[in-house]
Amino acid sequence: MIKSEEYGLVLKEEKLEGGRRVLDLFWGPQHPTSGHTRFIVEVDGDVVVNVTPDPGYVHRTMEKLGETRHWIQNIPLFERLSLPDAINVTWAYSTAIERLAKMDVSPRAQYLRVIMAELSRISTHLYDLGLHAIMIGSSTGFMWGFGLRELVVQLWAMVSGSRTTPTWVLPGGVRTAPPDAFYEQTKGFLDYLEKKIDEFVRVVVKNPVGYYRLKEVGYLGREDAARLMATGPGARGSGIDWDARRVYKYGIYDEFEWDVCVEDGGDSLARTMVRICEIRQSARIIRQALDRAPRDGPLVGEAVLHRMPPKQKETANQLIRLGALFTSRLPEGEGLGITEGGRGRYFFHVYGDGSEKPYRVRISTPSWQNLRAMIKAFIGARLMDLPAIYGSFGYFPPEQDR
Amino acid sequence: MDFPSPLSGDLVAALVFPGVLGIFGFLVVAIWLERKLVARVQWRYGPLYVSRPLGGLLQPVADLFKLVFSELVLPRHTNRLLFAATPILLFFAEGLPVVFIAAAPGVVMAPHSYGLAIAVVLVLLVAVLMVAMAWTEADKFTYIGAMREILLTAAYEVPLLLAALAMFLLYGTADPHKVVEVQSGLWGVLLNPLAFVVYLVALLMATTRFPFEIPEAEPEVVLGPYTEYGSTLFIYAFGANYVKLYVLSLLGAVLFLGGWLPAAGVLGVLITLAKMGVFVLPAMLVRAIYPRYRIDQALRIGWGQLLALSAAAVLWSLLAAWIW
Repeated sequence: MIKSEEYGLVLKEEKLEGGRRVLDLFWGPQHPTSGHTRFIVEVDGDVVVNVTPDPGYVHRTMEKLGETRHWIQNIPLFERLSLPDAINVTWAYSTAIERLAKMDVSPRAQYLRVIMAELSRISTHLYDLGLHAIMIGSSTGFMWGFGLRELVVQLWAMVSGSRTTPTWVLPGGVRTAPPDAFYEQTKGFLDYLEKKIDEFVRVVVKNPVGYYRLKEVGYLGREDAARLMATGPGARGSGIDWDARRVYKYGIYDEFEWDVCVEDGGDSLARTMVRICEIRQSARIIRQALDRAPRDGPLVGEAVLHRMPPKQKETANQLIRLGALFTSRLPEGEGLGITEGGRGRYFFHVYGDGSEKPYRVRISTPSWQNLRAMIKAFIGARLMDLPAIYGSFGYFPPEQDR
Repeated sequence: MDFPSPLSGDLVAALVFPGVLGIFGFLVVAIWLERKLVARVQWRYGPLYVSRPLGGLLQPVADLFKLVFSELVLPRHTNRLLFAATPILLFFAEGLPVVFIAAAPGVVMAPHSYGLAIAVVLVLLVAVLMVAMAWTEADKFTYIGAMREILLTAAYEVPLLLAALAMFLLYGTADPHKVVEVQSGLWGVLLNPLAFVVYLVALLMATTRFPFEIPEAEPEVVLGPYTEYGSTLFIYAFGANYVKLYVLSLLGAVLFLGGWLPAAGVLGVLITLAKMGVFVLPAMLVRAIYPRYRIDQALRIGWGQLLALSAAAVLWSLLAAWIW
């Protein structure tokens, strides 16, 4: 127990070498904005001199759990890494399984995956922009971001029957076919979104106060970003032209016209602008994919299709039942799956040993990768800049801890 | 005095407006109005379910009851007497300047020829209590919040004082009745618009409204000076801010907008109340418009542009008084 006379602010200031006195701040895990993680922040006056991350508060043993259940049951599990970006996470895992079990993907599913993955990217960006806005104090940006995301979530519900946990991407294809109304409503949503995202920029980012809270804050140089292996907007905001969609050419992204959004600023503003640019690019991709997507055809590739009983095969254009997948085992071998999520690169490495359970699943998530880069950007900033930098990386503790 | 004898002006001032009823009524209406206005901008309804026919007006009252019945936690390592006393002292000290401000001819608790000047000084003195409160809590977040409060106070009090001084110089008096009398031709806001602008910005800083909501910035310092308080003490600590807004709006209405003019009596009181809206509504709406400044940016505004503007306002007044 602390005696009252021993407990005081003077004692809490540690004396360090060099005549510097710093105050240790425990920022999180129970804090309005730190999320489920802790940063031990040392401040000298108002300037942050050192930040020690203390992650692991929401570690859910995802990798170990992945070894204990059937590989198809891992899809709802891994999607909980990052629910805002559920499609991109499950797509990475499904790609790993497809490579491992040599499954093909049906052409229709390729288009549907692109549409939903880009919706997922928009959902993540709106989520992050909203949280970033409230972190610099704009509650309007927060409400608008989440208000717009509500529309994405309803589109997901039309396709998969679930607002936030679609469990929709399967190895070999996708689970359900979107109804015809989805194609029209998505187009309407994109028109509305592009109009509203301009308003968002005007109200939050180009706001005279908001602009100076983001500009020249949390600088991450190009070399540093590369050395610390930042990913997603963290890297592209520092002028690194890297996007897994472009580099690994997964799915059918090559068929569409779109640009990788790169900003040279390296500050919070640049990372925010990358997000906003990517929302516009995603809308561009979705529009092209909606026009080209075949409205009929099987939802899964031949490899899965030929395992299905004839009665289920009849409805394979609308709905895939999972029974056939439950009876198939993983061959011996390994498979890699990489996708570009809203926050950066998702990486899944699955080892099969001939049983129905994966022998090992390795997961690398963008928030974990961005952590070191974010700490680098923290140091030297002012205490009030901490949330402005944190939000600009779209840092997400549940995803980081896995 | 327009009121019949048992209801003398000072009694009305103390009990109804701008006294007890005004302050507590303002607490309820202001909190409701703030939530409703901001919700309108943010695609929401705001308070709705408590007293649906009134548009959720009673929601703050419901919150008040909820807070009163929640557990009161006194941290062991603090000076418990001071911990409990400072928010209550703060709340009533914030309301103290009302004693010297008139809401209509004769409706003033303590008529004094320097009444408004005393009110301004009292408003500024209260900042000390706020810092004392944060210090008593002995918590790192409140400590940082207190430091920010001190810095911000230093940045706004000189411009606020100079803006008030400019008006006193212009009117040649600080008596609330005479100040309003002088404005019977032209309102103060037209006589010295610079001082009005400075006063409005300083009001936002003094009541720590957005974009200056820095001491209680939630993302870094949780709730700043209010972090450790709960239950009834939280009502006092957090309500003090609204009382300050009330006082500064009332002072502004008298100083810049001609107070109760062109009426007197009960109608005059209502007109004063309506003119307070000119200060209250922007203070509520900025929450929906602006993020918050960083502390160094806010200080640069306070010690830079705002100070220069307020000095210019004093010069303007001196020139205007000389030309008259």
